[in-house]
Amino acid sequence: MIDMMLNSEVLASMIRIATPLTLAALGCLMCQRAGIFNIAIEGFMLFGAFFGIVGVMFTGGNVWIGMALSMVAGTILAALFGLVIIRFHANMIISGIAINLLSLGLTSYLLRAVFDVQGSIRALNIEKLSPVNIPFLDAIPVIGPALNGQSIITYLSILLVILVQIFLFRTKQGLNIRAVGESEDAARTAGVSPETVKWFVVLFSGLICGLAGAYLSTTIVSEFTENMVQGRGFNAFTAVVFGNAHPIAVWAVTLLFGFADAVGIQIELLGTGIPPSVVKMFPFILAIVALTLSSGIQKFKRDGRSLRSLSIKTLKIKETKSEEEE
Amino acid sequence: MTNWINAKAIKASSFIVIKQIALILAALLFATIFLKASQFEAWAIVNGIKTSLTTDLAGTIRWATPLILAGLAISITFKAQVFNLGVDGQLYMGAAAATVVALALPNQNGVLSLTLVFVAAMIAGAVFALIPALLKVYFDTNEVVSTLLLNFIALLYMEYLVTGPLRDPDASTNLNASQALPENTWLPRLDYFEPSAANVGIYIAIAMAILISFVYYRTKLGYEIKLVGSNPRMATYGGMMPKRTTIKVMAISGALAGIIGAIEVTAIQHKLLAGFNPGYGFDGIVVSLLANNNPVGVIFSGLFFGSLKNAGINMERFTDVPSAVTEVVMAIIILTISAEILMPKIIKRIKISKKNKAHRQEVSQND
Amino acid sequence: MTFAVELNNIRKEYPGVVANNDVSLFVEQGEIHGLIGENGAGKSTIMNILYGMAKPDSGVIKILGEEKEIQSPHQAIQFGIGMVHQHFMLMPNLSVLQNIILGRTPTKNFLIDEKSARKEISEIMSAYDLNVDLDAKIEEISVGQKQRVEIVKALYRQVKILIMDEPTAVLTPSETDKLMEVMQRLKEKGCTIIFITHKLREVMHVTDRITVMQKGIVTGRLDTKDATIPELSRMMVGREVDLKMEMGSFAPGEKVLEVSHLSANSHQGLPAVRDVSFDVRQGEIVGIAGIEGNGQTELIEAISGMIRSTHGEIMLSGKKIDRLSVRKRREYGMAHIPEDRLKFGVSKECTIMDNLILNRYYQKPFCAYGVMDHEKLSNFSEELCQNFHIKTPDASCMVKTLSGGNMQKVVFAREVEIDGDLLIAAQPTRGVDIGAIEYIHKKIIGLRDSGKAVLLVSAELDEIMSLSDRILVMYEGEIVAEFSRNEASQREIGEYMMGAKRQDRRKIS
Repeated sequence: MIDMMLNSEVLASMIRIATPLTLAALGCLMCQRAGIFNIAIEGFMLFGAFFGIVGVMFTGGNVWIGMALSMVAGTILAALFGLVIIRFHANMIISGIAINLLSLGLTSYLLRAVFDVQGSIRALNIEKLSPVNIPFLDAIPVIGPALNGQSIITYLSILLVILVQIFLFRTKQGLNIRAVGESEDAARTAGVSPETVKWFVVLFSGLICGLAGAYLSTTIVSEFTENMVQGRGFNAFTAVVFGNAHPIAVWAVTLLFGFADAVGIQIELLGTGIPPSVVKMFPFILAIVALTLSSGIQKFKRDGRSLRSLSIKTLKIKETKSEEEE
Repeated sequence: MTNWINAKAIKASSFIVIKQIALILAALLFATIFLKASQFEAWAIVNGIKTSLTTDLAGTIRWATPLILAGLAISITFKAQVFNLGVDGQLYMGAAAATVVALALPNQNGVLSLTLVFVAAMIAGAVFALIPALLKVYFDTNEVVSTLLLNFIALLYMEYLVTGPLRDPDASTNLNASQALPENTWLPRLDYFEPSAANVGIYIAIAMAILISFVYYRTKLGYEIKLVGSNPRMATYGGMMPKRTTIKVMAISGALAGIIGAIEVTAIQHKLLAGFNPGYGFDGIVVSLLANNNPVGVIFSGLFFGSLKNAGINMERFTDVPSAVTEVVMAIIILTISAEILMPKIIKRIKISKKNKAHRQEVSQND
Repeated sequence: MTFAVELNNIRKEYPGVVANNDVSLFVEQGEIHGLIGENGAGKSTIMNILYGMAKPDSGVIKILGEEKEIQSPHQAIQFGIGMVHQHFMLMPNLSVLQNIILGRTPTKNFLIDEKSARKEISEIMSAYDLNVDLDAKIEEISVGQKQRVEIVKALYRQVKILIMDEPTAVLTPSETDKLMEVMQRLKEKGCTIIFITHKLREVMHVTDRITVMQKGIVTGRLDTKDATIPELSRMMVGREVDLKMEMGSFAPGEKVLEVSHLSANSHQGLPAVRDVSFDVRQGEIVGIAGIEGNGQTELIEAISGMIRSTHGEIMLSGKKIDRLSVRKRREYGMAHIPEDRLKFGVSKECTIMDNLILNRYYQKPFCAYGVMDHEKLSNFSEELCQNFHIKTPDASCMVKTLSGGNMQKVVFAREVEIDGDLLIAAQPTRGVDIGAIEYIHKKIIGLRDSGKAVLLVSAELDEIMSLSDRILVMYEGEIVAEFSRNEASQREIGEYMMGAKRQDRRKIS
């Protein structure tokens, strides 16, 4: 059974399915680090998915243009989101929901308005990105063949994970982002502008989620269907929460999601009795547990601090009293 | 916002209502321009709404029912500054419970069966909502994230139920649904509007709105919700327990969400159908926002959004305008409400800086 | 001569209050300049203006003789001004190193150049003896160490002018002494320091010149060597006003509130109330004098039940209440006018009636089976508004339409109405107009004359002196003195408030 689940085919699926999640999660993660709860990534992805196909269709099949267009589109939508939450200080959650609704409505609407089609549209003339072949990978057992032959975007996503990790933890801008997320006031008094930082992460998330969406519509399939993101944006958000906004951990969680998806069908075929729906639940349940643990620990630290420092300070009081008496 | 219904309150509310109506009109105007620009029939959406309120009132009623209830579920939590984004999940649990109970009941008196079904749905919804509530109270867990996650869990659970234990053995392979519910558990449809799906649920929705309004405006609990929501520190100072209030509010919200599930199952589909929820939870947020989180206002807001949704569906059926326009309108409304909330603040800031400028000029003139 | 910092005729107004009213400040180069005043005197405001966190409505700022406009902390830093804040501006989950280099981060090949940063910071730390582990997380280090980080942060930016805002507020006496040494060393190296504090002992010890502020204006400028603590107290604390109030004869009855060996922590986890014991009897007003921030807030919170005490006992009319809920304590007869009415006392988004019924909404006859009786509650509210002269057309108006004084009357009315045996009044006339002040004072005395026990906490020494039968002085969490009415002058009491003197423990009851 193990090799039914952990064979190269399944792992290859896992990596492929996880790619858009990884990209979106990275965008969401950067926002999270700056203190922004960004659930509008779902909307950004859908926008990107649509405009990816638009780009393809209007250039006679050029996927690169499609992807470029999707990134622009995602950024524009993100700019609207940024305007509302940064400039107008509107509630991040509600604005995120509004952006998702807007994206859903606009893409479905434009599908009709521009292509005069309902439901979905296929890009028949698409020149799909050819899978990249890295020969030496085949030598590595199991994982090698799974990693090989993926789309270039997939490799890009893995590279981005590492880049974001370095960016956040080893560069000046990354430090600024984390500082704003920790305490806007502290950042401001140190001379960092929280607004500038927030704009940066929001626009970045738009850009990268647009790409993620385009990947969905041009690589995994070659069509745009209404509401095709189907909650993947929220999955990415979950991954960020579960992975505590650490790029490597978040990436691992997106792989987990991909794995659950890829393996779901397999398990049903095996008749092990665990229905695929239940398997898919695990990442969410784990995410809730992780969330509860982390907030619980912080809470107990806060409550416990008063007790802890009491003992230290009592010693200090005694120390100072004896000093004064001398 | 005042806590009591009297002349003053009605006057204050009318002012807000006029503002909201202006907003709606602005959003509709924007949408109309949008339609014109896309070379669709420009007045489609306005006509659509007109139809929804006249000839196709049935459709409006059918959609307003879950929207009003969702709006209520959201409004009562928002009033307490709790963000329950889990209405979708809670309504799924309610629907599941309703189905299970309905299928398990022997053929009996209709009213009794229905009551049991609805009670089960309310309990299921409330219990499911208590999970994030307790996590928040005991572990400080952010309810926005936990309710969102639980939504997925509930959805997957539902999928599991209709493809597994509850699956109708006679159904065709591509339909994931439970067995059909026995007729004694069907919530009656409104005869007047036959053969539409408009059903008795609208009375339930309005009754709930009145009940929640009563609770909010006239009971101890309502007062506590109000105070905890507006100044939790004062609530503690005055002897209240904000944590208990949070739990109560979430339980009520979950129960209301459960009712939505029960109505959809017993009145519309007559079975548990995979993916029957078009997103009432999030729509409920829009409904509640437009009503300024006011339980009475939710009735009207729910009716409006019901008519909007219906207009969209009809538009699609009879013209070539996509129903997606309704989502666009909703999004515009939310965004403009958010901006509109800020307008008074921005205006105030402009006033203060003007005053300062004037003072500075005064001072320099006096030197 | 060119001053390091020259602030000329600065005016800054916030809604309802003039924080800085024609304030001028002259700081010489290379000196330690003390800026003293009570809470609300305007010192923080003027320093925020200097550091670019607020813009003055009018006035001129000159740095080293050049007129400058300071639009943001970033600019202030560029002009050589640094600030060590009273409430630390640090990021708990980041390391000391990261906190220090934020905003002035050296880079090499796109990455942070940690090596050079560490080198530079280590040099600073050893030059001034301000050593802290660079890799420790902020949330793990002590308060004294956090402050050192704040100072190193400023020094790392090569500031020539350092503003220190109440740096000793959170330090133990030995940490304070260390800090004074650091300040001397900084001065030796050519730094100009503006030292904001309300602790006179420290100001006398370490500064060269002093500027005193009170209620938004400068009340005194002098060389430290010419200053005396009594004179500084007078300039800080206020005019010798004689608010002679008519009081009935002093005939205290039974003990209503008994506090024994009470200790409690602040919200940051530091001890704020240290082994405090006192009583309040029927027909008596006990006033607690002291500069804000010496534990009075936490004392009241512990007595009212909003925080848990860590040690000690509280009795109300003979009943032990220190483990009871807030509601139970109120039901046993405790009324509480909170010191921050906007935070705790009223709910701005609610009506006057909503605010008035806070104590009664769940009780008979106003509430039965969970349902409130609107009419009864409305009549109740209207009556209260009339009896307590709350200026409003009717009780269904929003409370935010009221002036500060009337808002306080709402709180006052609500708390007095329950007819409790004990009334705790914390800063009862803060931000309140003269007319309302008079009214509230008369009412408090009326309560006392009719046999109620009143515990009064106020930062306004005038108020304490004119109303109290007994005065307790609180300093750094302890009761350091007790006086009966008219036993001591304002100047004398001021000295105890500043920590300059302290009574023998045996004298305090």
